[in-house]
Parts: sequence; structure tokens; C-alpha cells
Amino acid sequence: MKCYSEGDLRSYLDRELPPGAIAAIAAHISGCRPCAASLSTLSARAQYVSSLLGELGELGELSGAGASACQPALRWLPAAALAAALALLFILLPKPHHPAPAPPIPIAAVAPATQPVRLAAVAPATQRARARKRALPRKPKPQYFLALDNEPFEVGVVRRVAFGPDELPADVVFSPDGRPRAIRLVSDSQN
Amino acid sequence: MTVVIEVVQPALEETAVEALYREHHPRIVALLARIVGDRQQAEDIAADVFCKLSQRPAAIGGCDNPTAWVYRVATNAGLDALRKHGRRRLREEQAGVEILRRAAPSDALQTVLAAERQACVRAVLAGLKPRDAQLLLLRSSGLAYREIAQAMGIALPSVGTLLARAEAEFERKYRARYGDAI
Repeated sequence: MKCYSEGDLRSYLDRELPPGAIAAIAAHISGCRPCAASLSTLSARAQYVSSLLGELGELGELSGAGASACQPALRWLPAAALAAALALLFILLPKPHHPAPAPPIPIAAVAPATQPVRLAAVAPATQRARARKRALPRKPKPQYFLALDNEPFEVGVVRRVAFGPDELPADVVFSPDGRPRAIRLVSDSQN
Repeated sequence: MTVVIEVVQPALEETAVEALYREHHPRIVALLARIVGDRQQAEDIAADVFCKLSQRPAAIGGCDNPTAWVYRVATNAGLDALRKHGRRRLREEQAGVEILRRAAPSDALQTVLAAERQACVRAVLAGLKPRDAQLLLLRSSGLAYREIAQAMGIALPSVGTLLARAEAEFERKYRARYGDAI
């Protein structure tokens, strides 16, 4: 992977490169730690120097045709600095060894979440305190399913189905590939 | 038999100089005022630049970008003036006293601090290599890389590299002289 020179990165900060080159450098720095660090340093320095030269004032009278080319670039500097910092942060953060799986749906949390906690509309302070205590989240009780095969799985989706000729309610766990993996019959108290 | 030879100044060159003056004189003065810190002195230098140009309109005839040429000449003249410390210091002191006289008491401290920061920046600019100072000033004054390359006679791909070096040198010298304070 070819790294870019300081001059290229400085031109990239000012967007003084062809669009193709800008895209190429942007793609490169998102995966190159040294170039992202260089870009961050250059950006901070450019802002430092720009702020000092800005102390000289009189910029308002330079906003004509000749000055137009520079103003967009100056506006880019904070955004470019932020992008460089984010890219550097992204690179420096530890990455997981495995690709992140799809958001899991915890099986144990499905049933308790459907049970509402009722509070009295108007109640004395002691009752309200008791009600608040009751409203605290409780540890969900474990729910047992019957495995339909011996293959282990970590996440799945629980779906309520009607089971058998009597249409008994049952919860079936489907793994991400769509196969049913476990089942339990639902009693009236679990509805 | 007498042959009368009439020498006619090319109308195109006259027009080019006038157009340059109309379009760029205010910005050139503003740029010079940033460099030398004195509006009157900036007006004088700008007048000199355009006066020389009007005396030698052919000077811009062979130039691809007359605008860049004027900026280069003006920047060089401003940096030369900035390096004449004796005159500049006297004028700054006089200007500073005058500013303080006009300023409200509550603004006096801010005015003094701003003037001090400007003097620091100008001192560091004056201590840079002329090319570095010119590059920083032209860039901060709004010229694009292409115009900077034409004004300074350098290759377009070199502008980014030279600008990065000039900024590094400016930062190093500023921090060495004044620390981390801005």
C-alpha cells in the first residue's frame, strides 16, 4: 500500500487535487495509521498558522474574486481536521477478532418485557415509594426450551405459533438461518 | 520629405493595467496592510507597485497571469518594508499610541494584546525565508494553488509540499520565540 507524501496530504487538506485523487487519499487514510497521523498533524498545524495569520486582520477586504479560491479551503480545515481525528481514532481503537454478528435478540428478555407494571395514579408518598420499588427491573426468570437438534446456537428469534391439531400455543426459536431450533409449550400463566 | 512616425502605445496593455488596478488595488492594499500593519504605508507600497507596472506595461505582457505577478511584486515589496525594523517599529509605536488614545478604556487591554500578537506574527514572518513568508501570505490572502504557482514561478505539484514546510517552519519559529500562547 503506497503512502502519500506530506505535500499530497497538505493539498488534500485544501482540496487542491483532482476529485479522483481526493477520493483515493480519503480511502487510503481510512486504513493507514501513519498517513492518518500525518494528516492530523498537518491539519492542526495549518489551523494554528491560519489563526495566527488571521490576527493580521483585513481579511474582509480580501473577499473578492482573487480570494474566492481560498475561502472554501479555509472552511474545509475544521472539517478535515475532524475527519482526520475520527479516522485516527477509528484506526487506534481495538478491533474485534470476529465480524460483529447481527444484533442478538436475547431469548430470556422476550417474555418479561411484555408484562406491564401498573402504578397507582394518585397515591401517598409511602405507596409511591413502594410502587417505585416494584417498578424496578427484576431479574428475568430462566425459560426452558426443548432443543430440536444437537447443534449449538447463540442467537435466535422467538415466535409464537399454534401447535398441533388442538392449536396449542407454543414458542419456537428460529436461528438466523431460518431453521427452528427449540420449542416450548406456553401455559396460560405465560400468556 | 519628412516621414512622421507615430509611436502608439498598445491599447490592450493600457487596458490590462487599468483593469488590474480597478479589480485588485483594494485587495493588494489590504494584503500589504496585513504585512506591514500600517494602512498608509500599505497604500504607498501599492501605489509604487502599480506605478512601476504602468511605466512598464510590457512587464505583464509575457506573463500568463498578471494578477499573480502583481501579488508577487506587492508581497515582496511588503516583506522588504517589514524587514526595515527601525522605521516599522517607530510607526507601530506611533500607531499603537494613537489607537490607545481612540479606544475605550475597557477595550484598551484587548487592543494592546491584539497589537502585540500582530507584532509577534509579523516578526516571525520577517524572520522566515522570503519564499516561505511569501507563500504563507499569498495562501492566507486567498490565492489558489495554481495562482501561487504562477506568482512564485514554482511547479503546481510543489505548492502543497512547500506550503507544508513553510507552515512547519513558521510554527517552529513562533513557538521558539513566544511559546505556545496564541
